[in-house]
Amino acid sequence: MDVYTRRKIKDVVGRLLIALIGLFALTPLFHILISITYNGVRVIAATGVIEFLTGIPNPANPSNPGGIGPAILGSLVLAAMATLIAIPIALNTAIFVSEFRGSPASRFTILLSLLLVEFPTILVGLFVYAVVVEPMRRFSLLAGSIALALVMLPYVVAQASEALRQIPRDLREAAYSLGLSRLKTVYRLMLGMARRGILVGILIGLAKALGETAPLLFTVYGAFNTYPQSILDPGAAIPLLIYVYAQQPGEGYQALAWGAAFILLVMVTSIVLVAKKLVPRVHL
Amino acid sequence: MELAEFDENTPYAIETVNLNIYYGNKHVVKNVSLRIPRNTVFAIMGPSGSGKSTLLRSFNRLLDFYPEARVEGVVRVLGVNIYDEHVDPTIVRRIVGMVFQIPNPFPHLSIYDNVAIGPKLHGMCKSKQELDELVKWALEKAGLWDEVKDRLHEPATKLSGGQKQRLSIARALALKPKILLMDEPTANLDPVSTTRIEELIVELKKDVTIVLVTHSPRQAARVADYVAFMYMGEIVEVGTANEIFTAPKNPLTEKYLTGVVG
Ligand SMILES: Nc1ncnc2c1ncn2[C@@H]1O[C@H](COP(=O)(O)OP(=O)(O)OP(=O)(O)O)[C@@H](O)[C@H]1O
Ligand SMILES: [Mg+2]
Repeated sequence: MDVYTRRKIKDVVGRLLIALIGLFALTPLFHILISITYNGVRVIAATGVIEFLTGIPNPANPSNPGGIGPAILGSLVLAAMATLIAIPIALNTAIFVSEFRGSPASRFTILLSLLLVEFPTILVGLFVYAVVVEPMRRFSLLAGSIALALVMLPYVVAQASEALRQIPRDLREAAYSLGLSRLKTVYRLMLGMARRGILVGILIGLAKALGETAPLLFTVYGAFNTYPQSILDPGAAIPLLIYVYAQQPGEGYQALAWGAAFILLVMVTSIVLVAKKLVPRVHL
Repeated sequence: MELAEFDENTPYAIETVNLNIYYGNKHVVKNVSLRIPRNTVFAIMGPSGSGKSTLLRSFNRLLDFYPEARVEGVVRVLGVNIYDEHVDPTIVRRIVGMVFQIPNPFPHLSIYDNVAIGPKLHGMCKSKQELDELVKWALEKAGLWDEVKDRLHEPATKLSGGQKQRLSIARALALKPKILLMDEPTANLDPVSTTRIEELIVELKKDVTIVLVTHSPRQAARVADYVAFMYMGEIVEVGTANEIFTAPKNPLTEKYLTGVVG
């Protein structure tokens, strides 16, 4: 065997080894995905899609445990309100950070925002409990949205400020040369130019927020069986339902948790896919 | 400050007196005193790094956005010293439009919106119809109307390089400026597009005074009424295009024009 053939064999063996190790490392992930899909689809198929998406839980009957309607609605309302709360704050922060880049205040804001990414979300929940739930003397979807908005915030800030930073200088100059003030340039033109990055930030933030349990524990409480009448009512959310039901004894609870897990998986995956499609190299 | 403060009938569109510009402590424009007659094409030539773009950016106070830049001296635009304290630079920039070297329409806006954005944000039009007419007028002036009238709402990014540059010109014209600064507007264009823009420049000087930075002596000869030659921050020679091209007085000018300097 000559040197080249030997090298070639070594190369192939090496690649194979790496692929095997990779496969091994990914096995748990595949396992999770497959078992959630398998169990979730089975439960949802048994109950019926519409019933599962809109019905009220009936865990006493494991063969037809009802649906998780209030939790799904709760998650949608929480996501929508959190986004509405997070966007104006995040965009203004991003503008501040990118317009005054290099200034101490801007660097401090970036630091704060990085810190918020790493901040234990249970503490976000506690914080909102202290400043919203306690004074209002009630758990509410509003309190939950504020907590989730805080979770989303740093992702939107990071993506939006990066998108703003990447706008070439000559486009800014073009705007200035039309007699637009710095403020008008940013708010009326650059936000539009950065809209893709902003959208990606919102989607990534949403994907994170949708799957969060901890910030909701002390804020929305779990009203899994009733549809909320207003945003000041306690509510439910899909991850909260999974967290609570998975711990309950009883097959009905387990079935609902599996189904809910599958719904959550679908929601989060589709958001991430949209974000990926918008920008090929999204950092998650 | 008001737009009306600018006197449209002064003989000089731009007049500088002992203008000095620094970036930090780097002196890049030195003691420039220039007079640019109204409704002419005034070309500024000179080797790379001689300070042409810097000088141009001082005519519409775009240097305000360069924190390290410092301007000393007087720049009068239609009789108003634009570095005077009471002057609102955003109004100066409406009177003095600018076109850049790289065609730079706003990529997220349609052809129409690129032209409309300035008038819209300045509240120049009372109705949609008035705005439509202004957009059409500006696109016609920029010689682009016929090519885009059926696709005004397509993204500006779909245009060719030459069309993008004419769109940038239309965008500037939509504010009805009296002066148009053009910093090497054809440096990135093919010969055909370049010819279109040169024809346009000659056409436009009926309405506006054009200050044109160019590296091409041929271009200056084709379109300019006056030529200033800049060298290491100083204006070393100014004259009519004819004078400069037939009998340059300064040896540096001659060397540059024959391709020895720069
Ligand atoms: N923002 C800045 N900070 C510091 N120095 C600068 C800055 N911009 C330009 N300069 C310097 O000032 C000098 C003049 O630059 P300017 O861009 O005005 O030259 P120019 O004549 O337009 O050159 P070119 O023909 O290459 O466009 C150059 O030496 C350049 O390096
Ligand atoms: Mg230049």
